[in-house]
Amino acid sequence: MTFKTVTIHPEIDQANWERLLPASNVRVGPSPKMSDYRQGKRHLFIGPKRGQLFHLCASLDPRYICCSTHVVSHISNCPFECTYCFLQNYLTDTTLSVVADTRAIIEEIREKTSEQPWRLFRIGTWELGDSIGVNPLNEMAARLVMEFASLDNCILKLRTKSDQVTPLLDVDHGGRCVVSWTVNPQEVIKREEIGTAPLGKRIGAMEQVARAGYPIGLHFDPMIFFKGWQRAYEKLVEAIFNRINPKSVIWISIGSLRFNPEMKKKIENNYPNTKITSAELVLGDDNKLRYPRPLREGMYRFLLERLRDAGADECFTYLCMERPNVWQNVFGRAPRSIGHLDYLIANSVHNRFPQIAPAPPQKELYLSLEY
Amino acid sequence: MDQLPHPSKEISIVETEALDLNLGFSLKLRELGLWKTEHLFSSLETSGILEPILVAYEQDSSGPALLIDGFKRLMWARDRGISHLSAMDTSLSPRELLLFLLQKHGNELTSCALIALFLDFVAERGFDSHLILNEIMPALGLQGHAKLLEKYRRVATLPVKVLTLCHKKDFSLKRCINLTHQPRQLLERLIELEGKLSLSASLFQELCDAISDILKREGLSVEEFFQRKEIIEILEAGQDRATTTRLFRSYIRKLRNPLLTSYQRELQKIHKTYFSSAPFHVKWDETLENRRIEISSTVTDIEELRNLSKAISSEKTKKGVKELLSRF
Repeated sequence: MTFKTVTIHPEIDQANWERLLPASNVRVGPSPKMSDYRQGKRHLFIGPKRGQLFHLCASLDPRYICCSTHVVSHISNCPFECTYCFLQNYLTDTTLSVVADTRAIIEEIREKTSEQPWRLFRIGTWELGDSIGVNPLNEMAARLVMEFASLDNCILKLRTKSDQVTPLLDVDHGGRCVVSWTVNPQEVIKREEIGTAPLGKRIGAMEQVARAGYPIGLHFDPMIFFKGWQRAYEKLVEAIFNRINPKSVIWISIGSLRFNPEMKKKIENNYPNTKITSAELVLGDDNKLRYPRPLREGMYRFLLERLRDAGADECFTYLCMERPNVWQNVFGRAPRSIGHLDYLIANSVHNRFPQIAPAPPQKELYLSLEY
Repeated sequence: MDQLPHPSKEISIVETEALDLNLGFSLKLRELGLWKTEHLFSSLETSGILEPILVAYEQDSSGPALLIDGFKRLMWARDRGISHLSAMDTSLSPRELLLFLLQKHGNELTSCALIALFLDFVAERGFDSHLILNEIMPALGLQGHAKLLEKYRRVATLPVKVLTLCHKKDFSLKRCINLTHQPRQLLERLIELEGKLSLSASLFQELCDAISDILKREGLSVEEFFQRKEIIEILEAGQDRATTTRLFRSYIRKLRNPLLTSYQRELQKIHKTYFSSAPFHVKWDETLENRRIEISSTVTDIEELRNLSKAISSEKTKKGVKELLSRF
């Protein structure tokens, strides 16, 4: 994908970016402040850091069991067009923007995470866009990866639907970066994840980063219900684990389609051919529409069994934004709280990837976390 | 709004069949069944046409006269085979014409649907969009934004019968806009059921949304959907409107939410087995999301409280609650 325009803020040292950007159509100035969701994706703005970028994932809701990941929201908008994406109803300035000042971002993270040195912070860069989906986002990510190597109690979580991993491969990541993929069957990718890398290319990219020593994260989220979904998800799991060793997978998350009710019309207008909004959906306490609970549980259980069949049961697997009763019905057990899940993830990382978390996590400290 | 110049010009005789009716917003209202003519027509029957109709000519006067005011009189005259009428000529600028139209019809625009129809009507006739945005929309209590005008114009594309319903039920702009996203054929088919169903604004919207989702999900056409045996049975059973509406709505809900419906049926069965004669109410979360049962009752004396307490702690209640919770 190429950008129609690239704008660099005057405060940014252009020389730092010259190597990464196409020679033509680069200008210096403020953000073009696009308003159209689609058009904004074709215009890149590289800007300075303004305000705080590090915070808890905005989806966290104390009524649900959430993984309490942290995020750095230095990317805004995404080069891809997923029909279910909340960004189509969220951004006011739709220009694909990225904060250039990696050092300042790291300093903010260092300052905030040093307040809880006992805690393992998982920090994602995917809240408002794909972490590495397009050049120069992937080059920028590579810089973050290098800087993260110096943060003792943090893991950088890159998350993507692309195969743009080349800049990451020769970076000294110090084991402190997880490269994650959102995965779905190829038929879902084709229909609902427009412009993203096909499944085969995503798996190819996984192999590359695994060879480069990165732990891999897998996110079967959002699972989409459609006629023939079982066979499709079965094939998906087989396709991944035929080529990826479960030992290199640090965690797996599972979730299903969810969106705010006001998104329904937006999705139908933007993507008239998608059928995702016509599924049977119920409104949860968090004002999100989801498949009815029995259907979701059936989908999760099915996927979990396929993961077990594929030998991936050693990977820490969790549900995204679900209630304790759903956990109970799917896993036969449920974390007691958000802090408990945070602990369980940290403990699994300690046991399976001791180079990232050499010391065992202190359970009582995680349980005392308040959300 | 500025005071309009009085169109006091020459009187001429015009041919009723040769008039240009392009400015006939009244004719639009007639399509919606909103043309009240009884009073005027009975007065015309008694006294004939006393006031000349109002017309304007293009600058070179070569084209037909453009009828500006007197559409009802013209229709009355045509129906009676009157071939010529007295007309007062005028020469209004486009702005004055537009303001004249607004003055004439402003009070009739009592719903979003009619405002939409009017704005589309004037825009369609090539009136300057600046005039529409800056003079007409504010005069109608609207903000003169191009996007808002676009929305109203989209509403005006709804089928006439749907617009009539929108007007009669005073649908909001948001509701009208929602309807514009529905398949046109579905809107037309549903509106045909007005005689059999009591269609409130919210029910019409609910049915449209639900059926449109079912069509998309199942890959059906509107006609295929309405050919379903169950639908034909409900609509042709000859029941009263209220019953037909209830049955139709419940059937559509079942189709839209098959899983929830089947779970509810199961939960109702458990309720019937264990709690049909209980002195308390048992409720659960109908979305099936929250695993909790709500038990409530009212007592008026201590004896009732004793009985309630006994009933709540009975083995039957515990078994019933356990059964219900096992579905969550």
